[in-house]
Amino acid sequence: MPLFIDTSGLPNAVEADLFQLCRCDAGLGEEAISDPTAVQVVYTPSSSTIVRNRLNALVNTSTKNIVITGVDSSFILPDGTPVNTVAGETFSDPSQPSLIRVAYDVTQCGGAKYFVVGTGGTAISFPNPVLLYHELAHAFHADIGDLPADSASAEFQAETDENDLRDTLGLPHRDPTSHDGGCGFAGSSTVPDCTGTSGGGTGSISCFVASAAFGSACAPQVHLLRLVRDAWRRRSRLAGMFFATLLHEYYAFSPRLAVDMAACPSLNDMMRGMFVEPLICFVGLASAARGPLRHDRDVLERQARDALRAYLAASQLRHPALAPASTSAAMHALWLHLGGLNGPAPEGLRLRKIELPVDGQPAAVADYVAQVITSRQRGMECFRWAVAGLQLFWSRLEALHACGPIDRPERGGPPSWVDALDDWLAEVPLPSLFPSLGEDQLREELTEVGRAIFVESRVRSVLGARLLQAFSHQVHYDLDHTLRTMGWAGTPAVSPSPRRK
Amino acid sequence: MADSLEIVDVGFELPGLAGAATGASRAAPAGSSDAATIALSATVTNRTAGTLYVISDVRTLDYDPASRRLVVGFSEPPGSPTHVPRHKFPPRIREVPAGESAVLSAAVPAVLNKMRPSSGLGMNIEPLDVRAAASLVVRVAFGDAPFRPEQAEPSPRMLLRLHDWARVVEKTTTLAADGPPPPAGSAGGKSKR
Repeated sequence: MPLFIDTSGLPNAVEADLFQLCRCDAGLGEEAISDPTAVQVVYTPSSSTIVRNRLNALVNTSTKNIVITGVDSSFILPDGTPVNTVAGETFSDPSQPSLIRVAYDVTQCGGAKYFVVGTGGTAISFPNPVLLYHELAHAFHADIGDLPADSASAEFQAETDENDLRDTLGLPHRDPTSHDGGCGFAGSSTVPDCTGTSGGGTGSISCFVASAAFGSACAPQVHLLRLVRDAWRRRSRLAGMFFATLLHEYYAFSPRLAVDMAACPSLNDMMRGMFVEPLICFVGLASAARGPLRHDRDVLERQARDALRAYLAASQLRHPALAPASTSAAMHALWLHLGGLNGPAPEGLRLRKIELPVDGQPAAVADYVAQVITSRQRGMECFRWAVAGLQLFWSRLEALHACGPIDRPERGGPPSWVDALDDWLAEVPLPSLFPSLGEDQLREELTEVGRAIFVESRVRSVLGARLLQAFSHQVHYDLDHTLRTMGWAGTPAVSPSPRRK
Repeated sequence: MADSLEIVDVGFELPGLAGAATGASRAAPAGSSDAATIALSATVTNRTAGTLYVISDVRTLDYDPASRRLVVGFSEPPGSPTHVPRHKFPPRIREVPAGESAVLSAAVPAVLNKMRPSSGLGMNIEPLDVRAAASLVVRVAFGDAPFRPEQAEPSPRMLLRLHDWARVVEKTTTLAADGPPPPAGSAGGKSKR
């Protein structure tokens, strides 16, 4: 009987932890079942290790149904015990005694991080994959019938098993005779990553796809993306809200993409050429357009054109299959597809095996990405907006490619990059937590993002109108007045977001 | 209350992020720093002639939506357990000298997620928005000597010892006559009730 992931909890975090503990074995997957509240884990180990063998036994030979539920620190057990006083728990479901439930706090005590006691008597980390493996050890022994009745012996057994994974990960051993622990670990709680990312399984969110594309989470390109993200999260509460949503959406599917990319070099190459390198170039251009020269449009346009042309030349050498026109069309198709995912969540995750694209064409890669995203979750507003940015990027490359090596002023030349960027910025998704800002906080935020990102008054006008429409009835101050006095209201004069011609 | 520990004051501050509202604790990114929490504090005074040792971390959380009663326990769940955790961490203990006071504080999730009976493979997780609480019961467990876990002590035995060790005091506070608390922003983002 099989192993399941509960879709009513935080299934993506569970999936990521399973990938980490089996060291990103591509033989791990999921299948949809008739019960929409869970998906079934499938596993064919690619090699034999103690940990992989254990997972194989749980998935393929266990006699009871074992269901893993990833929860956050607001979860309480039936008797009122908060999950953060146990970190995880394995138990028979009182309403279904044949079912073994594994529940664990994937947020690491809401970010405070769990600790346990090592063989040296000091506090050591208890990262999520280790926590999950510990609980699965209880489930395994309960299933095969050798779980000691004495709970101290059961803990000794699970902690000894846990040390097998700690060996694999190079983490210090746990003292199996000590069951002390709790919240508040000062050190790192990460595990050595196997997807080329950092922070696996700790609830932190990483650049999975970019790391896989460049083979390391430490690649300078990945570092650049992380810097941009972290700088904005620190600098602005509104930007922090936006990134939290964006990364939540991204984290839902990116571990699966990263694993597939690791298993399929041609897919890795296409993902890098279609998504990652353009994103890095796009971020660089967007940053430049908000730099010291932001008021000199002619210079910016020229710089952008030169940078895009240089990128185009390099890209055609690196990725000859990525013709700008077909890639632009593929991005548009993906953007449209994501627009259809904003309805209610599907009944359970429709996880299934997805065929990897083999023909190396942008449309096939975009379709594959769309399938992976669709199988994970609904509600991709922020990610869709990011794809619109990539669509803008590729449409400009397409236009430059069509122009040839020399601009043709008589044909009007390429469209304005700066205007297109502003149009895109004007459609940024609005954070749902916006009403939580008090009026003074909002003023500070508008000043900050107005100075650094939304520098054009027409963009601020559009955004001001959108904020007013969405939130005027949800705040307890005069939002219209605040926006007007801050220069965020007026007559909108901006065209719609980038659309494929 | 002579010769005992007394809960002399209870503070209950609503989250500044009312917008994080309904169901957000499950929908929000795992570990999101924007998750709404309620800041709770309980001031206890030692009315005895000797030092008391008080549990200083939250060991019980429960909410009854029918009575709108929130229970926050710096103590183990009362009564005979319906489920004994396999490995509950030992409690944190704080020393309160004779005649002195201490403030116990906790961040209580604004929305608790409680497991309910389920007929499917997935759990039936019920979100409980405790911001609508009408009354708050704070329980504090304490003993005359420090409580220390023993080496290799199984969780059930530790919980049994805790039960024998602890005396429990409680204080019930009325939070609101009716209706949910006002949203944040109406009082500078925080409301002390």
